[in-house]
Amino acid sequence: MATRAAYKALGKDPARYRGSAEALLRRVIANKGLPRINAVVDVINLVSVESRLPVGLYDLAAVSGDIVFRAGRAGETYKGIGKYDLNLEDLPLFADAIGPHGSATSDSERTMVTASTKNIIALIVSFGGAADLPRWTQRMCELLTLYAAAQNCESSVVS
Amino acid sequence: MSRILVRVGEGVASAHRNVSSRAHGHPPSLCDTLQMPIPRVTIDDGMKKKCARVTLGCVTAEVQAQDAPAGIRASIGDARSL
Repeated sequence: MATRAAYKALGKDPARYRGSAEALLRRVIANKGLPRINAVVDVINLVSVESRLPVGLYDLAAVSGDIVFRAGRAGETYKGIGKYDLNLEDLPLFADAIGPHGSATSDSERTMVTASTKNIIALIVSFGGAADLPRWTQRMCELLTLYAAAQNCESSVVS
Repeated sequence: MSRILVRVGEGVASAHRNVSSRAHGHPPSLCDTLQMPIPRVTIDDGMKKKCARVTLGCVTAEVQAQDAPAGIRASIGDARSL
């Protein structure tokens, strides 16, 4: 609910542009299951469904410079993973030195995790405060360690 | 090797290490481990103004992105009953 309220506050229709967690939950409710991509993506999708929070997942080798979480600007777009060009205006998004590369709705192909990815950064988006985030970052590290042979899993909360 | 650092900056409210790090007695520094610079992650002031409670959970790790093993497939199956 907090994600929908945030989309409205930013000027984006949450019924047309859903948060990624809501989209995954709708798949589960419709008995379509979760997409099965690889161990890392599957873990992140599982944590997103469990937490009901959007999660961005990026290959660190493809990220350039620092990352800022901000609202999309007029004219900004990127090609979503397996999708069409996404209109990013007013959408909560992640941008690096090159430009937008992920959002709370759908991530881009530019920084997506593939079978050759070695180092990742996952960003859990909470519009309702930090209270539950340590639980979910720890859950993510546990699952990544168990299923994706993760090493040196580190977590923090940014506010 | 590049300088590797967890850049926590002003925006970080708290940080903790995961269970796998704690299991080795003393947590290793990212400076000794990840072979990739960690980007600084911040939230834009305009976003904070419109969404006052916005917060991000940040996780970094070295991984093997192979096909999902049976265990995670079972967990995903369990998610249908959430």
